[in-house]
Amino acid sequence: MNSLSPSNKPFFRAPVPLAGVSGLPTPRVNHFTEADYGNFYEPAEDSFLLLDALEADAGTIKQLHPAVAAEIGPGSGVVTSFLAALLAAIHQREGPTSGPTAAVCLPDTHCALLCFDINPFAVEATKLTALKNNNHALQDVVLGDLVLPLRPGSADLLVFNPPYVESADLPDQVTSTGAGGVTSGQGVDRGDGAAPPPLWAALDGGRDGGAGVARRALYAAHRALAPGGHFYLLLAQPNRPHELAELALALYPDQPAGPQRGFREAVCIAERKAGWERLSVWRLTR
Amino acid sequence: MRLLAHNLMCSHVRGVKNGYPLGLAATEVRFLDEVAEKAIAEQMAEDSDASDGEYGLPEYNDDVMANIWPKVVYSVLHQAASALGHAEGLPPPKVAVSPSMGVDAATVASSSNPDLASLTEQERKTIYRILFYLDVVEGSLTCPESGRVFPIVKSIPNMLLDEDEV
Repeated sequence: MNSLSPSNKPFFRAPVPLAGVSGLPTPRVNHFTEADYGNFYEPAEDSFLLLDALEADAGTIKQLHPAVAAEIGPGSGVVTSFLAALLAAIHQREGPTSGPTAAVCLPDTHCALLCFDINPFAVEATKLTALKNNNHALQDVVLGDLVLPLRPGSADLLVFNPPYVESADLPDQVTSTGAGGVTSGQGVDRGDGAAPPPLWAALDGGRDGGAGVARRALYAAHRALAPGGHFYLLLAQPNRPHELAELALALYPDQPAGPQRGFREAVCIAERKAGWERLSVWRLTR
Repeated sequence: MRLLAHNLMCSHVRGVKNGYPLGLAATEVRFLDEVAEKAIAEQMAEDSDASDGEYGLPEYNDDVMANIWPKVVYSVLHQAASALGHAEGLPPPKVAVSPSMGVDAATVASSSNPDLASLTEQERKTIYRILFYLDVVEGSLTCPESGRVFPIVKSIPNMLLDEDEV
């Protein structure tokens, strides 16, 4: 994997690594076929950047000592399984940390994990990936929109690799092997559960430079997080990340300064150029 | 869906103020520690290199329990376990919740939880097992205010709302 490149951006803050936690293996996803990836998002450069950023910031996560973590839109489940292994490594679990007998269970992570996805294929895939990576009795998967079903103020750690492509930039037909062609351009909100929107929903970030879903997620995450909790969010350059960071700091501009107004801090901890995409990972602190 | 997840979720149907706790009903439950022990044993049997390192489900751990305890509303856990017929061995809650009445999820606190140190180790272990390993396979969640029912199928609760509910 590429190394993280610091930049001179005003929002940039170097991640806080943790000695002894590096080079964790990417979770196995070889139980999926090309056909599966018609139904949910195949791990790609953006997913791997998020994994690298989480690992590079393990020191921050250790200090947080999360008890409740959640991933929004887990897709294949690769990030959630990685997060489980990362939390186990942070807590220095005993037993093998990789290989076929490296089982990870809740006591190893000290942390409950919940995964919310609007795509039924993705929640099934997340369960399967957990099992294939020997995660047992560790996470709950829920069909749900963002983290809206989570009790307000209950989460310590949230992770989201959102759909970030502008609707208008998507091809007219995104083919889905499972459910035939899924047509784009039917409006932004796909959370209605009517026609299954498998792959399409994993790409379409809505209008607004593709930041529509990420924008909604800021409000949902702010509500779900406990004070001091972190929200790791991946963004692409056309989403105008700095504008979103400004928004995150003042979600409710009428409120006085404090936790009710918005996130306390918004920093970019990782950046990478992947092909024609420029991606960044942000850590927003409630 | 484990009882931990039930404890952490609320209804977000539009207009609902008191969406917590979700009513719980089940037609099939299981204990995930039993499922996991079996899966790990099978994995070990398949893997020829595993002979040197026995690895089963980690044992009960007080630190893990202490970490999660402030997130749990014990009265709600007790009520949920009772609804599933698995409250045996659980210490009684300090405050009781009415199964049919909801509260504002944003105001919920664990401050009325019993102090962990005041419980016996057996009680802590029982709470731990119910919280982390009791899994609702088939059943439903009900919004205490609107009555909206969210089905649980194959351990996955469906919290998606229709367009007119958001």
